[in-house]
Amino acid sequence: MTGGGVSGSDMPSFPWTARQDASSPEDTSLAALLAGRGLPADAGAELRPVADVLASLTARPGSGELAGLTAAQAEFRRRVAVSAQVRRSRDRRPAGLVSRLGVKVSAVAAVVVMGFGGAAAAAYANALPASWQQFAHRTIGAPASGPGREARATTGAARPAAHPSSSNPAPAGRSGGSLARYGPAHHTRPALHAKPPATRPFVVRGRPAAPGPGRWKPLSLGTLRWPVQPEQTGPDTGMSNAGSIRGVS
Amino acid sequence: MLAAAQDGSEAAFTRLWLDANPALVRYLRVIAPGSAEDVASDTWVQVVRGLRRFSGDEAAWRAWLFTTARRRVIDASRRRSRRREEPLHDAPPEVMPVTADAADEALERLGTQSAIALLSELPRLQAEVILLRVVAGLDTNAVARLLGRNPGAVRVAGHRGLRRLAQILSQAGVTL
Repeated sequence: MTGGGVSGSDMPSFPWTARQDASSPEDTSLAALLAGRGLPADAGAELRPVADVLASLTARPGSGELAGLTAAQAEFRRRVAVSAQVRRSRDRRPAGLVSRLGVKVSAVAAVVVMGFGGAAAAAYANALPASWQQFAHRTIGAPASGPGREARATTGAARPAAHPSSSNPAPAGRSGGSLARYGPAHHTRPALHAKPPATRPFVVRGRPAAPGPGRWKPLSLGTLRWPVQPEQTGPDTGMSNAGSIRGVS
Repeated sequence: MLAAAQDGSEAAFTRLWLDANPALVRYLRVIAPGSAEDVASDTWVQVVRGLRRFSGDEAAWRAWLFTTARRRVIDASRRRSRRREEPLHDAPPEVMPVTADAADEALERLGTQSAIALLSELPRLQAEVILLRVVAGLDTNAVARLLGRNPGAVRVAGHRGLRRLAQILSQAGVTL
């Protein structure tokens, strides 16, 4: 680059060495001191007092450095220990169903349950549209939609009491339903019945029963005879298969 | 230990305090001389308030403790500057406290107080890096996060601080 005759001052002298990025032994010693690993054996003598100073910084605490313990403990008792105690007692309490599931899930579940319950009640009241009523009839044994529905609708208020002593006339077609056992129809069933009344057309799903002694013949909706006259009540005359709904014909 | 303290164990908290407070006070005596104990007390109040919400291991907890302490120091210095207190160095020389030279004191006894006094001779960043690495036991990355510097700058500051410390001790004639 420079030819002969050039003075030495023209050649720049670089102040850094060729391997500037390599860590020197001193750097290794300093890193060890900062990491708390102590002074390496090959460390320079000038670093030994530094190591002693750093050791003094990590010496056992004096009494002046432990003065605030009582105040800190009091603050801890007030802030953490008491709230932890309250939290533990709350954890021991059994959580309710609503709190476990969450309010939204519980609300949705309640709506679903109420919806199904209402639909089932409507089905047993024979109040659903025909196709839905048929579906309910097949699935949960609700009354099938058919002539009885219209018949019951027409009889309505003109129907006399089912039992002379009963003030709660049972709606037609519900006497044998599964829900009807807990409804007013249960009370209207004649007390003298020794066996289930004959008007249970809803419980004969696909199971034809042969009439015979001790058996009662399954009825179709068109054979309902309701209400029963007082003179007809009895083991054999309670529900006749013949006839029609009073007031319809 | 930390989990037990968070769960309300006073014994576990006491253990944590005994382990950390001496280091905290030594750190504060360098960066907040004159109010180290008060700032340490305020720091513990803050830490206890947030103890339940803290998540992390004990190394992270120590970093959080020292970060809280450093913020308290900064807040205290801001309050002092708002109050416009008369700075100590503006006082007349006859009322200035007379202290022994830190290096001379180190010659007599290399105790903790002397070591803290020696570190106080260093530039603030170098002293903080040395204290946080050696006394608090934090690694370079944690110190860098705490100080808002990059790890390389922290490493350089630590090395420079130790070299400066060796120079001070050498000038004082401390050779072992």
